[in-house]
Amino acid sequence: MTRRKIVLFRIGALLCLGGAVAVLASTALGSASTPYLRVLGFGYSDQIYNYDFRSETVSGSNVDWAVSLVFYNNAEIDKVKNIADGKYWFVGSKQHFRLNNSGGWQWDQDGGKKTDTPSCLGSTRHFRIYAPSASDRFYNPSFGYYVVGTTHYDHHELCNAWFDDSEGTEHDLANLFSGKGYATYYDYAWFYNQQYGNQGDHHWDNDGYATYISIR
Amino acid sequence: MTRVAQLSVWVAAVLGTALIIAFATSNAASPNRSLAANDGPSMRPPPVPGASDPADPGAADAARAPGRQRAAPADVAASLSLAKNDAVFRRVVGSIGYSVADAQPWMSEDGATELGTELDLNLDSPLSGPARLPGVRFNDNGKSYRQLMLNAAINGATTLTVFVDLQSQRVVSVMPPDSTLTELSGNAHITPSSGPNGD
Repeated sequence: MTRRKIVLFRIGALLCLGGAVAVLASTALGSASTPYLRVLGFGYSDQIYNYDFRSETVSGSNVDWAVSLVFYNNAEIDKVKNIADGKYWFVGSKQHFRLNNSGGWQWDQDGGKKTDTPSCLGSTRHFRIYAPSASDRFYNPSFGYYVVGTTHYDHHELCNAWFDDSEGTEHDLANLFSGKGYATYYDYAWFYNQQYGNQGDHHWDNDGYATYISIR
Repeated sequence: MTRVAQLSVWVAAVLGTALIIAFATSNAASPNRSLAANDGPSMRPPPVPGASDPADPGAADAARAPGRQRAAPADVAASLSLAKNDAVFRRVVGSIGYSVADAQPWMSEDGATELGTELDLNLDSPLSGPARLPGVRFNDNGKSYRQLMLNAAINGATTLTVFVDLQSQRVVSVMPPDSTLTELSGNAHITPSSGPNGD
């Protein structure tokens, strides 16, 4: 092999390595995909993407679950979690959320709360909530102090795992907060993320409407 | 001269990697670009006590949403035929009759390839007893799965969720509702790749 061929071979090998790194960086393991990813505005330059992400890459092929909850009026992340704590007591793994807090795009992460520990033949409802990480809540005059959330249902995580029923967990939380006396408006606003169907072990069941819950 | 050649190799590699990254993420929304004022629709404001509820700006878009997609009748027929002839499925249901309540396509993780069909079955009478239930667990890359056989006791199941892989022509998962299942010994537990707390 000539010196020139050796150099060309090295270039090719490095380009392949670079490509592999690029693909790994652009899409996290086990993510699902959506054609419905978009920015939503809450007024006063507050904006969010209408899905959370498996890593800090904004891409329709790197989404986890659809946004289906808004806690407003006087909400804050730990405050909302504490209200749900009797039923949603276990901590899940973190996912990533892209938000614009009055002009500055940033990432937030949250593991959310689950109704139980993972098991072989049991299931756990799971929600995550997001807000600017410095304050753990957004603020604007329309929504007051507010946070947003995604929902889903984890099944058989230690055996034949699959994940589904965003809508059922949204409904479960609406019932939970309503039962505790918080004004709850189920499926109140269209969030442009209606998605149904099975993608591998990720089974979409989201009607595209978000529930609003007023926190005192 | 050798150093110049090595330097040129590294420069080429870095530029090539940058090109590939740019290509791989070309359909992604850029998170750092400045957004125009009309970038994204406005969300419905919350209700205000004593005032009429504000209209939902997304109502027209919601009316155009496609809703659920059902499996093609040919896929349902093919999946049912495979189930009827599948020894594992027949062992689970025994002599109990069933009907299809719903059927959806089962797609790959990226939504691009159809793997098969999900059949939601109603059973003519409750199903009970010990069983070895077929299930699937997707690998971390999300693109392939492995088959599991799970030991469980079933108590009064009136529905089954069945996944049929139309590429391999096999029934790969038969699951009664959780509320009817008790785990029996012998199942290997797998720690989720996201950690012990699960997904």
